[in-house]
Amino acid sequence: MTVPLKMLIVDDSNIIRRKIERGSDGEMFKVVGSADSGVAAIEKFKALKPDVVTMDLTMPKMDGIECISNLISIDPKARILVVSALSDKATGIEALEKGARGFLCKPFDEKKLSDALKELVQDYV
Amino acid sequence: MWSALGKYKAIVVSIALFLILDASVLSLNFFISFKIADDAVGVNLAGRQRMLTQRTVKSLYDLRLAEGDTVKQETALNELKTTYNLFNTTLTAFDKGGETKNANGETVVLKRVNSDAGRVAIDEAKIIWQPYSDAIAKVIAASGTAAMAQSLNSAIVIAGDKNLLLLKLMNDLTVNLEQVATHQATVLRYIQTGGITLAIINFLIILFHFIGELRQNDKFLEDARKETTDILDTVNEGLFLLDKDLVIGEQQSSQLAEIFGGKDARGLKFSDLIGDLVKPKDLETAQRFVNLLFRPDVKGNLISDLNPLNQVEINIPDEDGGYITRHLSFEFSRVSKDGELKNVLVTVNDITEQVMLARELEETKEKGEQQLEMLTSILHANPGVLKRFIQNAFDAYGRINKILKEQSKSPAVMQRKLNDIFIEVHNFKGEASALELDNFAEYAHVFEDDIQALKQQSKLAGNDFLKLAVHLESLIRYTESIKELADKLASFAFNQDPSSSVRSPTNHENVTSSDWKHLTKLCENVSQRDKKQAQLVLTGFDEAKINDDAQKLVNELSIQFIRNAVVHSIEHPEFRKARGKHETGRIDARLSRLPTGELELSVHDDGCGINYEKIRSKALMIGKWDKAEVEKFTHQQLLSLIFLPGFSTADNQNEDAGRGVGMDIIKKRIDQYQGKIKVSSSSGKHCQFTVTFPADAFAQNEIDTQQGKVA
Repeated sequence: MTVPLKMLIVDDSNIIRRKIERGSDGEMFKVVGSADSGVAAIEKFKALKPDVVTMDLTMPKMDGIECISNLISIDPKARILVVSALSDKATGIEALEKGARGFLCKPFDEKKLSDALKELVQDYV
Repeated sequence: MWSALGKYKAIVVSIALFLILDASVLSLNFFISFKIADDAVGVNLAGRQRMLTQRTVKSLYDLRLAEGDTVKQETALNELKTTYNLFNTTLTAFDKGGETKNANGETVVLKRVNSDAGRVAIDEAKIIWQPYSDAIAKVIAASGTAAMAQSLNSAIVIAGDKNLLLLKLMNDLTVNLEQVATHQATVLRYIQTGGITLAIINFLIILFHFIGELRQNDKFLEDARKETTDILDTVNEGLFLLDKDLVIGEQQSSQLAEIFGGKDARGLKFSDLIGDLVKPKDLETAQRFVNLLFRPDVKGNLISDLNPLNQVEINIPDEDGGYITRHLSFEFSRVSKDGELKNVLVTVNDITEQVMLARELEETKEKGEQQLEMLTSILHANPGVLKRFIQNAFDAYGRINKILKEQSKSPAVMQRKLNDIFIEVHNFKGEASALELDNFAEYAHVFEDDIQALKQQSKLAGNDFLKLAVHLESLIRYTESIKELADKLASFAFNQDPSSSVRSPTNHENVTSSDWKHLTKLCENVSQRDKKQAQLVLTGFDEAKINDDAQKLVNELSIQFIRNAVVHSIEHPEFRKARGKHETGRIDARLSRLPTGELELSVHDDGCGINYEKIRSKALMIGKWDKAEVEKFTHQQLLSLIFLPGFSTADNQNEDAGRGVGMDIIKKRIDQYQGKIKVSSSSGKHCQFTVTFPADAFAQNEIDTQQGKVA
């Protein structure tokens, strides 16, 4: 059995954070922390060094786009999955341009989330 | 290793054969060339042997001639020594193989002559040379003049005897060696020719083999290309490849040109293909999206939600200079080669039909919802009353349409047209409210608002009436839908239970008692809206045998009278209580046939009656008459004012009052049927409107009705 990958959940909604935690495969991922703002996410990212990050885009203090830029400058190989409502496609594209690797549209079901996370770490070594 | 060569085996064998052949020919060439070179030395030295025989004879004679001259003798003797040694060494070398000197004094090695003719010449030469050589050796070795002369004479004798023979033999040797050399050269030529021939054959084999292979490959490629073309010509999608610079590839499906109005996309930038068709922002977002697909770390499957062109509406110019609206769906898929992202495959689908179908479904759904809403809105109404209402509505629409069609640019006529339309709409609204057909009432109210707005406009133009035509159109459509629904309902009810009381009555059937219930409802509704309490008591309505025309008119007048009674006469409950009246006001509507045959409708209320002072002050506000004149108006004169178009004493405009057209309509309708109106009012106590129509006012229709009944 392989060691589960460390996961950090970034979302200002408690409900969504819990939903993501429930939807992530327990054998494959272990949620090591969560953050409700971009600022908190950076601190947790530095401290916990997660393998995978799920990132909301609309958050207080620091939005997801800026947070992604920061995380990528800390670790250019950070695996970030944007989990956000699709209000504006250009914003989603900008998040990927900043370094995120995938986009999961809210609302999502657990299977979609699980599939997206697996796809995100498919070539992980 | 060998199996790894695969289809290249043949070429490897061919090339190896070619190299071996070339190496063999080259080796033979070298070998024979060296042999020829050796032969050339031999031929040369054999030729020199001929010359040496003659030089030896000459040296012998020179020695004799130099007798007495020591210097000459010495020279001749040296020459003899040299000639003799050279001939002897060379002959030995030809005979046994070995070294000798060439013309330059360099040492050369001669191989033993093995040819038959050569051997014969050498063996004979040796026999001749042996005594001759001995004689010369004596000359060289001789000391003293006498010995010299003697040995010289004997040598000259032998020379004279054998010289020519020796010369001939050396000549034979030379000729023989030349023949051998020629033979070698011939062999070399054969070998070269053979080698070159074989090389050419090998080359030709390789060439034909390759041409065959190339042809086969070409055919394969051609077949593959044809298959690809067939696929691209057949698929229903627009297909093309984009490279990293977002340039469109050379191959594309035929459908692509079809979708983009015949545009050849090959080699174009993606932006050139769709730039004119989509919004600049969408184009920019789409380009950024495609660029993401070229980034290996981005998961292609996880960004499809961000595709800005998954459904896009475009307008493509057509041949007639117009535009065709299409709905397209673009899908982008990565194309990798050897793990490297090379291209993005773009699949364009024309989803116009699907989009249209979806819209149609949506519209159908909306229509369904609307019909349900309509159904709810008419369910409470009596089918007979509803049918009459719809008929009245279409009549009113016809009249409005007629007014709208009147052509005139005169402001006065246009104002009159607006007034006439307003009266019709207001009347219609009143009837709708009475029947609680709220949707109709709302439509009509909005219609009224727009007419009011136009009435207040300083200048009117024909185009201003367009808005009203639109209102009319939507009212007609709505009414048609309701009619359709009402017909269905009626037939359904009829089919379910032919004896049911809810079936639709025909035009000539008498009205049932429930047909007047809406007036009671109207009284309740208007009271509620005005925050008043009023009760309507109907008398004689059900008993009076009247035809459709009379019914329509009675209905219309009753609605206006009842509404006016509630709005203008019945007081608010607290006010009534203060006056010692019952909180709930009473309105009595009575319909009766007088002994004279006249039809009489009276509406009586126990409200505050007519407020003449309010009418007077309103008359002053209008400014049509001067103050002194208004002050002098009698009650009778003031009463007549309420029948003027646009005159209302209501303080606020609402659904039930304030437009100032209710009494105006009443007056018009009464006049239309040669009726009379009587108003009696006692301030603070009551008010009564009584309308009387002549017995024959509806006669024509009565006859029709009779005939209808007989038939």
